[in-house]
Amino acid sequence: MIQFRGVSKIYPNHVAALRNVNIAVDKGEFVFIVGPSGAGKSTLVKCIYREELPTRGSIVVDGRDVTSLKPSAVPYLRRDVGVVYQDFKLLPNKTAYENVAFALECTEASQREIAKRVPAVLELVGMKDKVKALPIQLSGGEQQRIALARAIVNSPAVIVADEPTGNLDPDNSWAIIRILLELSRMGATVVVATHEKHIVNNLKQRVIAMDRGEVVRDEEKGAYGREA
Amino acid sequence: MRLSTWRYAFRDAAGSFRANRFSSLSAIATVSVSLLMLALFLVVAINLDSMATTLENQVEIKAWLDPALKDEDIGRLSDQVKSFPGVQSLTYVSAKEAMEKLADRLGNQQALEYVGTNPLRASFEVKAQRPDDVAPVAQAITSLVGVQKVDYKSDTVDKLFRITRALRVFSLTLVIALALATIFIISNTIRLTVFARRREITIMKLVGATDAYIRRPFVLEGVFFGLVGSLIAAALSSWIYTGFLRFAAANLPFFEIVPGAPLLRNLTLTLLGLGAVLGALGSAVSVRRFLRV
Repeated sequence: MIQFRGVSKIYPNHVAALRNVNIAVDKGEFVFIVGPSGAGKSTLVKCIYREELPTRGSIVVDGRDVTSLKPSAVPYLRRDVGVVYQDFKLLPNKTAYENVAFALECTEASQREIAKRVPAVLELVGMKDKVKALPIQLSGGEQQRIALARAIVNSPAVIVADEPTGNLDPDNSWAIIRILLELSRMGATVVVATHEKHIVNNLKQRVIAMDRGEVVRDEEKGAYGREA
Repeated sequence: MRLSTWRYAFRDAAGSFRANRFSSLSAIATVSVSLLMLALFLVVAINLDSMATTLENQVEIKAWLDPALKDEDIGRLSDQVKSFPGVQSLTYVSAKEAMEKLADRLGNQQALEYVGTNPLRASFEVKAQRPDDVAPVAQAITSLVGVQKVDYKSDTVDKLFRITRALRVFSLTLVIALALATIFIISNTIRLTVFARRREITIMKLVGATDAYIRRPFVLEGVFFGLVGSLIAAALSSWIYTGFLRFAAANLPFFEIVPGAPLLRNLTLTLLGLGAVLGALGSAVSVRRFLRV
């Protein structure tokens, strides 16, 4: 589902964020990307939905060659990749419902489709009762659930989360991770970049560890790090 | 494209207008003021041009004929001159008519009787189609047998044409400069409303909206700014011009001011079209900067 072959990313200021990264993630897999700050986790994740373009190497996502994609094809890639951000990226002047509906409107979905799918995903993330709330009226955990609902409302094949629990307390962090696990069980490929040692160590999922732009470890049923 | 897509675009444009009421109103005010400037300058330019045309049309070539010419020679000569390219009209003035005109101008019939014979010669009064035709037509007439002398006050006329040409170049340059300034001002003002929504644009890009989808509400908003602004500009400039016409009729009878009837309607249509296009362009240009995500 996701393949990185010899991927390097050097930023204009000569910082090498990724060095010769080779990974392959199968359909329905759940993968943690771990590593210290500046290890290249975010860059790797951004390359999946082409917020960043690698300097070298090739990336294939759901059969699409991301690196050679025409700019006009990028929106269609992004509809297939749901993204969850550390800072939620919700629109403050729209309600929970509208924030999720917004993602469908952007794909030019019909009103009927929106009316059918938005309540369904809001129920899935446990936010059925707060559809009319504005982001400012919601807790961080609730906001992240709305953001998660927005990421999955297009039924993407791939879900990417960049530090999704970075701003949340442990209970809410677990709730978000559990929903992501559930989505992977339903067939989505899930990639989570994270710092949360206890979550990674508890779940025993595949772990890809990065350091200074390189993949230093890739283990099935892995842990956060040797020191953990 | 689905109908719902347009509905989202209209809803977003209206929502943005409401949310950014202040900058929206200032955008409209900016559009009206810039287009009003443009409109006022345009009517001044049109009037200057019409005055120049009037002056140019008064230019006449006078060709004095050999008194020995018979009537049929004159007819042949007249046909010949009419066939020259660039000749618009030809009037034959016989020696007798010339004398009558002179007498009219002097206001003294008797004075002429002292002269006894008629010293004046018959002539052609030729008008050229375009100012540029005057000199070549005069040249061509000079070379005809039977024509004794040709005059079109070349010094004065050349000077006049130089002035009218300079006037036109000057007003065209100013109109273009003002139009460019208007585009710049409008796109800058709209940039403010786009800037207020840059976060939304980024999120739209990230959830897979196409550039066309993102651009649409902004362009609609720009067209709306442009149309409302140009309507205000058109109303104000029509009001000012009508007032000026009334003033000129009472106080400046010797000036030929272009009447308001077709001019103001055309001006309004031009302003509306210009406003819509400038608004759409201004928005599209401003959004483009934020689409690179």
